[in-house]
Amino acid sequence: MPREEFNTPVKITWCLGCGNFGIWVALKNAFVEMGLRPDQIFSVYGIGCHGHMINYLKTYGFEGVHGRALPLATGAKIANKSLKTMAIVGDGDQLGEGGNHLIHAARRNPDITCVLHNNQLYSLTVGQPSPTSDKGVKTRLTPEGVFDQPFNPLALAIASGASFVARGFAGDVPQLTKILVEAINHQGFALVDVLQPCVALNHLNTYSWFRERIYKLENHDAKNKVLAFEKSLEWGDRIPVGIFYREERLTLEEQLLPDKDAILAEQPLGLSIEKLLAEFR
Amino acid sequence: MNDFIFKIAGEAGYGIASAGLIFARTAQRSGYFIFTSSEYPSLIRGGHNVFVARIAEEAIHSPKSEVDFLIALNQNAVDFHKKELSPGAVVILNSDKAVDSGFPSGVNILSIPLIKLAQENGGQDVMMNNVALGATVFLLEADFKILESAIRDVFSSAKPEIIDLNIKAARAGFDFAKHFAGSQTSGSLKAKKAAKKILISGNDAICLGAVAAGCKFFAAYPMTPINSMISYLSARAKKLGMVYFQPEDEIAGINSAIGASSAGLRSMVATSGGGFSLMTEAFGLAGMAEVPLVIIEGQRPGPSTGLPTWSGQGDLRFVLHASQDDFPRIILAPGDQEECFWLTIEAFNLADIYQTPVIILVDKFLCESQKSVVAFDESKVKINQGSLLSKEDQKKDYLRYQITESGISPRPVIGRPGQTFIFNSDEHDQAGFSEESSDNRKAMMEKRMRKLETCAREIPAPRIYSEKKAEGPEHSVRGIEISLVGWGSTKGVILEAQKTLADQGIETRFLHLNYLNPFPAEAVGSFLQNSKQILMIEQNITGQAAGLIREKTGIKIENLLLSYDGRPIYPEEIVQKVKEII
Ligand SMILES: Cc1ncc(C[n+]2csc(CCOP(=O)(O)OP(=O)(O)O)c2C)c(N)n1
Ligand code: SF4
Repeated sequence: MPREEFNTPVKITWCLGCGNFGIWVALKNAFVEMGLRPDQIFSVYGIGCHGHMINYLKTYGFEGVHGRALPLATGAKIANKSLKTMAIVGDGDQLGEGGNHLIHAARRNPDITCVLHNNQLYSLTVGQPSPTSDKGVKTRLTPEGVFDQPFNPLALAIASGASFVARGFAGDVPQLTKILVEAINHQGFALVDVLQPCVALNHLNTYSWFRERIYKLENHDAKNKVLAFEKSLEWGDRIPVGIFYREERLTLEEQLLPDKDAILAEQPLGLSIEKLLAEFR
Repeated sequence: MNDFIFKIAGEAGYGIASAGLIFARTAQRSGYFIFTSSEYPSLIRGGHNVFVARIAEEAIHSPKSEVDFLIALNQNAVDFHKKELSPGAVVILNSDKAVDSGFPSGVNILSIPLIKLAQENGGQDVMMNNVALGATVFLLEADFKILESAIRDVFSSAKPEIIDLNIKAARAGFDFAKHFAGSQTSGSLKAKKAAKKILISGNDAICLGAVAAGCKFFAAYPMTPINSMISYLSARAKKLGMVYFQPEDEIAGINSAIGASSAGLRSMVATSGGGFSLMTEAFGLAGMAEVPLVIIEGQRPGPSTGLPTWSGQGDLRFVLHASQDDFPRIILAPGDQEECFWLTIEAFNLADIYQTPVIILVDKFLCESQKSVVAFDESKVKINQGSLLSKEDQKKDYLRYQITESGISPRPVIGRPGQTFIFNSDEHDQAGFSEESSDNRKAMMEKRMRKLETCAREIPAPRIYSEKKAEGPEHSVRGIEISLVGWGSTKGVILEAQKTLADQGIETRFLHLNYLNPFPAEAVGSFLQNSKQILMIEQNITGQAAGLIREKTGIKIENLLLSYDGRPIYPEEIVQKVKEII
């Protein structure tokens, strides 16, 4: 299937050079590489610049409300376990508004790939600091620099029980594609933190800032949780990208569904309550 | 007529609820109609718990305020409830924990050392309930075997030895009463032949309705008064071919249900006002994205945490207006356990037909009260999925948000092979893409709101219940002095009040609202115009439904009976109010 099959007729309004383009292309590449069709994929979006992708990526889609993509995706995955289910979320969206859902999706392990467009800002609302803004960074709102410690999505995901944790860079589409293919193929909850330059508003964490610091994880034992956690703490002069952690674990659907081999949404509706009524006599 | 109130009261943690259930089952299996309710504080141990059952030969719809048979397990039970006793009432007094602190004269007291008898028969202190039930069964001339079967069923998950000990304790109570009791009695449970009934709570009736309607996804975060829905459905989910999902909060609950529904599952959430507060944003999402969803809102008194284990009707305005801007929402308010069942099925149909959220507004009183009803006739269950596309039709071209005269668009399902589509919380065009133009905005707002107009044409008119005087010629509508109006769970008490009033020569009509949005304005308007005096009965401080009626019909109801203390309204209060008015 050609990559264009995943395009829509809608004109893209992201700023020229925005990191969202790289993620969009990498997603389409991954789908093509995996031989997926648009109707086999369900993408749920958060609210933010990243969420505008609903108009540009041709798959089954749902733009919900700010921060709530993961529970929505979880419900859909339970309904139809055959769907490749994606949560396309932002750092403000998922780590601020929806932080609680990330923790619980990680523990439950639904087979969902969560792609975190991490531009370290609230961009659609024009540049307020986000949970991942670096400490000390100056925005229009924080003339003295951000006071708070940045949120570490990888460390949080590992600690919360995510079964696949990775980081990619929107400026390296081939590597991001590879990571996304692994993440989508992984059976269970996969968090992919994507370093996403916001060219319009983030003048600190730019493409070149990242390129100077990024290095690829090599000879890393992704089965070792302690090591993965240690690596996840690395940030600053050197920033690792790649697959930090992965483990095989039963998924939410495998445990929750009445018939783990059947698609729940395809089961017939009518059910006799005769036996249930007898319990109330 | 044999129609009496049984009450058992004591310290929380002493199995009052299970004793109550055993009693109610015994009474029902002896051929009687039962109505039960319970009162408990928001504590697991140490508070005062009460279980009340009304038992009658004929169908009944509410409790009454006077108590005819009291089991007082401790001193508080004596002190709190002695004033409620009817003349000639019978009291079983636990002489191990309580003394007669001055019962009204005429009350018959049987003192029984309940704990001592439980211990002597090898049981633990908590089994004192069964000793008391054994004595009760003797005094009410019930069949001990029926009590035994009820104990076995209620404790069916316990070890056989424990069940036997409970029965032995009950037997000891029975024998004690046989030796020491006089002939006093305040009612009868003599076994008789009667139609097969079920004893069911509002919560359980909603669960059965959901199962019958094909609900396959239920998400609920624990909160009184809907907790027993969670226990009922979670325990049986796998067997029923459905999923119970326990979310991290109500926000996750409603969003997961929206996701499940978008992929084709009939989905339901349940909560109380506090949890619904957290759901409001996604409530609007379901309206905007046009996703079917059933929401159970079990009211309890607020604001905020309020009275967590008591009842009220204070959330009507909230559910009518929750979430930003206008979108079609359907609000149903079942009046009793039967309506809980049938309107739940209806809610799933309406949600599918109009592709919008449907709220079922109940309350603690209805959720947790049990009533004897004739078993639901499942041959009458009808499933209507509206304009859901078939798998084949979804392969052809369609527009997710196609503009139509009825406002209803074809409904495809996420995940089928064929044409993909998107659900969008942003304003969108007919294909679902984000679109902010003025023309599109107007067309889409109007399309969505048209669904409510279509729905308004389809809903049934509210039912009017008339209760004729006991004797005398038939009266025309004009002869009726007073019309009563209520909504939701006050139906039963109002029906009971009507009966009492008729016995006293006062004929009434009662309009019960169970569809609150879209509002049946025409039917309500003409009912009110044809009324001399009107009394509105509801359980909130501002007369929320009276205000709604005024908004929709222009008619101001002058007489309001408002209660907001968390306690049930009793028929006696309504009778008294009616007499003050006419
Ligand atoms: C409940 C709610 N609160 C606030 C907003 C306003 N809002 C829209 S986008 C956004 C921030 C988005 O930041 P992020 O998730 O990082 O996405 P980005 O725009 O950077 O891609 C906010 C706060 C909203 N839409 N909903
Ligand atoms: S504001 Fe930033 S994140 Fe948004 S489109 Fe422009 S560059 Fe991208």
